This record gives sequence, C-alpha cells and structure tokens, in this order.
Amino acid sequence: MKATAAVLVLMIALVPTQSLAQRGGGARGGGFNLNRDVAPATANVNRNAGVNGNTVNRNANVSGNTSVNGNTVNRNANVSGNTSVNGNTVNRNANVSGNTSVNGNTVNRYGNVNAGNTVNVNRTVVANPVYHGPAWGWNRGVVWAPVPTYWGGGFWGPLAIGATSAAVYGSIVNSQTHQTYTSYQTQPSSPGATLLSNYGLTQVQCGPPSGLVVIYGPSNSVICATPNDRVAAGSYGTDPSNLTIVSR
Amino acid sequence: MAVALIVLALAAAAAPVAAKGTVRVQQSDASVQTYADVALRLTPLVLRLTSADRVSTLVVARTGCVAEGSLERCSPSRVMLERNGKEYPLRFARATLYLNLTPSEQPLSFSSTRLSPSSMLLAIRTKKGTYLSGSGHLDKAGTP
Repeated sequence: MKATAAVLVLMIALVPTQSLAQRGGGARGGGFNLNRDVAPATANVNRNAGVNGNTVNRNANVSGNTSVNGNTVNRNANVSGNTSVNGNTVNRNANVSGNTSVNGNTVNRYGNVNAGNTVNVNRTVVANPVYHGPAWGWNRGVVWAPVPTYWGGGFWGPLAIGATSAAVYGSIVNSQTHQTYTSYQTQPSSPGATLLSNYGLTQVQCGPPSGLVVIYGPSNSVICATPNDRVAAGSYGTDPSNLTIVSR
Repeated sequence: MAVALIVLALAAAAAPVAAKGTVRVQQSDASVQTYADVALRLTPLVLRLTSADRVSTLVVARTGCVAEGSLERCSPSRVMLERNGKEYPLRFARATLYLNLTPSEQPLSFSSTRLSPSSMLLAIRTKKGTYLSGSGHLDKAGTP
C-alpha cells in the first residue's frame, strides 16, 4: 500500500505543470474569440448556381454566376455573368461583368471592370528602395501598437489625439471626401519616419501650395513631403507591412 | 501492481511533449485574450492551431512561402476558423507566417525577434482590426 501511494505521488510529480495551467482555451473559454472576424457559413446568397463558404452581400445584383468559391464579394452594384471566381476578394465595384475567370486576384474600387479582364491594377507601387522586410519587428511581433489613443496607430509616432504637445504640420482636405486630415510631425524611430528616410523624403507642412508628396497612413493620418527623384508629387497610400507607398 | 504503476509513470514521463504554443487576440476595442496551451500541428499544406479546450481551430494555409535566410516566410492566402464542425473564413487584411524548421535559433529580418529552433511565429491583421499573433514550438516540423 505504501509502495502504491509512493508511486501515485511520483506520477503526480511527473505530470507537466503546464498541463495544470490554463486549459479553458483563453480568458473566457469557448475557443478563439474571433466572432467579429469570421463570416457566417452562408449569408445573403441568391441566384447563383454554386456559392460555397462565402460572404456575398450588399450587392444590388449578383447574377448568372456558375461558381463562386471561397470569396468575399461585397458592395458591388453589379456582378454578373461570371463563370468562375475563385479565391478572390472582389469589392466596391460599380460593375464587374462578362468575366470568364478571375483567379487569385484582388479587384477593388474600380468604376468598371468588364469583358474578360483578369487582372486590373491601376495603381503604381513605388518600391521601398531600402526596406525589404516585414514590419512585424515593431511592438513585439505586431505591426505597431494598434492603440486607439495613439494617433495614427503609432505609425508616425505615439502622438495622442488632440495632444497639445504634438506639433501640427498643416492639414490636407481630401478633394473627393472633403474630409480634413490634420498632419502631425513624424516622430523619430517610428515606422513612418523609417519610411520617409528610406525614400529620402523630408517632411514638410501640409497645405498650399500644391506639388507635395502627400502620404496617407493608417487611421486617417497624413504627412507631406517635398518630391524627390524617387517620389513624384501626388497622393500615396501606405502598405505598413513593408513600408511601401502606393499612388492613389 | 506497484511495478506496473512505476512502469506506467515512467512511460508517461518519457512521452514526447506535444507541440504547444500561445495565441494572442487583440480585438479592435483593444481588449486582449491570450490562449495558452494551443496545440500546433504543421503539415506540408497548413498550420493548425487548436485551442486548449479544442473548441476551435485556426487553419492557416501554408501558401506564398519563400525562403528568407534560414526561415520560411509565408503569406497565407486563406485562414479558416473551424468551430462546431464548420469552417468559417477569416477575413484578414494581412497574414504572415514565419517557420524556423532548422535546429538552431534564427533572427527575423529587420527585427530584434529571434525564432527558436523548430518554432513558428504567426501575425494576422483582420479586416475588422483584430490583431492575432501566435507563437510556439513545433513538435516535429513538416510532418502531419
């Protein structure tokens, strides 16, 4: 009996302590909490011969598709006559029609994509001449601190919204949305400062006269710079993951 | 009887430690859930991350992979959440998976982060603004 008890004690001692730790799958249990990020199994899918595992919604018309698999198709005014659309994100198009096959592409924000086009990219990516790696190094594996209280998500630096200490660098009014973007001074060592440095750009105050490089960052942020031999004057978006700017 | 129990205990102690990791989910409202003891399973096609309670599994397609130094860097084309026998596509804006399948520690480019031997690092930003990051040790890389 004593020997048995001793063995039981030994077994308990050998159980990895990790297995006694949290086993409930997280703070609340019930598996990963990604409820806001996953699409329902099927939602608002009509008139298609085969639509599997997708989210198809907010379309005025989605018709005549033979097969739409594994896609997110949304906010289209018209998506029609497609034979096969696989592995794509197709969104915000006024018209997408007559395509035989659209595979592995992202097609978005175009007025018209018609008549059998496969890939339509109307933007110019200005490759970062210096930086070629991912941006996950910042903030311990996350791109940058996605903290709402940080202006611009911290991309241009930890500038608090409305903080008086943040140096205002003019403003930009979007010609299409008429939204005003206030520009703040980029902070050293921020991802945005690295981006500017890589392209050889120097930040200047936003606003008239025109002819500036206007770079829109995350969270409705914007900074301006004088053009150089690498970057012409114009409006650019950013890809924060690789510090690349894209004309818009 | 006692001998049998001793043998059993020793066998349990000698059993290989399963591949385990941690998943951190930061919601768009800045709330954070951390999931420990996540089971990792790497196959030639996917990386599966199963919550400790086995309620849900993230399936990350091992696609768009390129060699980056000694690391394998993948840009998954699909991420699925399996729950209650159903699959739900995760609508993500960007996903990156790093695999260190070597027996030695490897540095991440342009980063102070270092990946331990036979380990993975996963970072996903969803379209809803959720940040999902995962890391952990792979039991036996490359095998189902």
